[in-house]
Amino acid sequence: MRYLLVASLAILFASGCAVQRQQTIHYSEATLSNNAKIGIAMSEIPAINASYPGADCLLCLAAASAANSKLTNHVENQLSSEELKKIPELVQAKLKELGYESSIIDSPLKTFNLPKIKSEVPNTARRDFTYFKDTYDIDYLVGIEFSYVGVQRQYSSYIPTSDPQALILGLEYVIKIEDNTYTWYKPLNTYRSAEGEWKEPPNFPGITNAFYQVIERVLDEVVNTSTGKVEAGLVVNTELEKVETEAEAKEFKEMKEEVESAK
Amino acid sequence: MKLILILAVCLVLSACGSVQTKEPVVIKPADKSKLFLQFPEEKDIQFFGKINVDGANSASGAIMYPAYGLAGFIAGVAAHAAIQGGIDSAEEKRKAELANQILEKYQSILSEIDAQSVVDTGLSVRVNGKAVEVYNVGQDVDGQNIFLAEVKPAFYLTQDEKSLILINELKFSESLIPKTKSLPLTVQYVSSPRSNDEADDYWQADDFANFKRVVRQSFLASIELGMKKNVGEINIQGKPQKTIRYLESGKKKVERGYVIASTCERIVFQTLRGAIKSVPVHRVSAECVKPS
Repeated sequence: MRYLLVASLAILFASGCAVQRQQTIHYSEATLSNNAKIGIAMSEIPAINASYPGADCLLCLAAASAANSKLTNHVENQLSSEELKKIPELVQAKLKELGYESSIIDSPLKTFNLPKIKSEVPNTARRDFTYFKDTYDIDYLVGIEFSYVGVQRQYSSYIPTSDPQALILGLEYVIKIEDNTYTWYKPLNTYRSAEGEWKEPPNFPGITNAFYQVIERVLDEVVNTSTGKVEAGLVVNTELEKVETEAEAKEFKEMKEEVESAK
Repeated sequence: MKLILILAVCLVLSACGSVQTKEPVVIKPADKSKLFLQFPEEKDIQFFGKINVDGANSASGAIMYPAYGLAGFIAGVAAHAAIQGGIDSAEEKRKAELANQILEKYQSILSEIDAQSVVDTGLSVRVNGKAVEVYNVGQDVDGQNIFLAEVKPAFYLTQDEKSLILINELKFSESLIPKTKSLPLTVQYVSSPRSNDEADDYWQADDFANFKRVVRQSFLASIELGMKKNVGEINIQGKPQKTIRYLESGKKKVERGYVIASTCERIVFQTLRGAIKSVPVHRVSAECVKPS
């Protein structure tokens, strides 16, 4: 009886501590209000990493590292995540397309520096974002965070249980700073295996391709479109790779409309 | 004992990872103004329906095995590999059969298309600025000191019938009984996608005239690109590696490679595995759509 009581208390205690996982919130008309001041900030992009989860003991990790040394060397020294740095400009361009003005916050987003808060209100962030209102005078923050960029291969102690996969773990959200609630919340977790053989040292073309395909997927997802991306500060247009000015985009749009109506 | 086991596992795993790469052999025949093509004897040009693989390799590859000690774990992995291998090959066969059903309405034309119909008289490609005449290998050809390419063309029609994709494997040599052959070179040519409305009609119209034209055009382009690569006109030395976006069946595809040439409509690039691809651009650039 005493054990049952202790076990019940332990379960009660543990479930009380469990943190509610933030659910995905889709973009809607309620995400941003008209004439709102919007800031865009992105976390630093983590160094590209090759990791072997499941190789938990020290010797297992040593064995996994030794067996995958060429892959690790290639992933950590030859791959680049430079294209992810375009994300704030992509988001800004997309917001402009949707009719919102926004500004890019140059300093990296470091949410762990913000004070913690607790709230019973659904979709409330666990950090207080008021700092952004005070410092940048914005009403909404579009945040992009990355926690992992690289390649991962699953292990069970000494034995690999999967082929390596290119992996990016991240998050994109809109915070309404007034009440610290998320009005958009979208995990950016993307992974991909090599097409065909992956054991192709020293250049690992299959894994290299998978890595850049994952980057492309994130770039597409971040503006919620599969139509690609634009250069910094330019107008998003589904038909054009490069649009030098807004006037050119307008000109092209009119031309396209003429063609469509002629059909 | 544990250390020996670990070292053995490391040795096995690292041995699995070594793939030898060889330097390409450049064939230098005396007469480069003519190229003779040798098709496979049985089925000279093959046609398939393309299997849809979108997202197939995005699934998690991790499998948790029961592990009652290391031996049990290895046995679990081996058993799973054996069962999965059988399932995979049966599944692949079933997918291929399903994919080939798209070709049923094309049977009349597919039986007409062969090496003779594709490589008829008067064909030529341009390599290093000079015209090279292209012929099929015939009985009357002197087998020595000719520029010869073994070709193995396979066409894949996408399931929405928007694109026809040629994958041609080429090996160059200097005689019918060659001392040396170039390493196999894969050239892929993706046709420009048709729109949703027209795909079906487009290929079948006028007794499959467009289908025949695209087959011939793609094949010839693959020969030209293969030759250019073999004689060194295509060279990626000093070129930066880039992410290339292109259209296949109207959808964006992404691949890393080295851009060799680009126009408003197409990009030619060398893949990281050394294949040459000619593909339609993903999006037309502003310069290409500006009204004059």
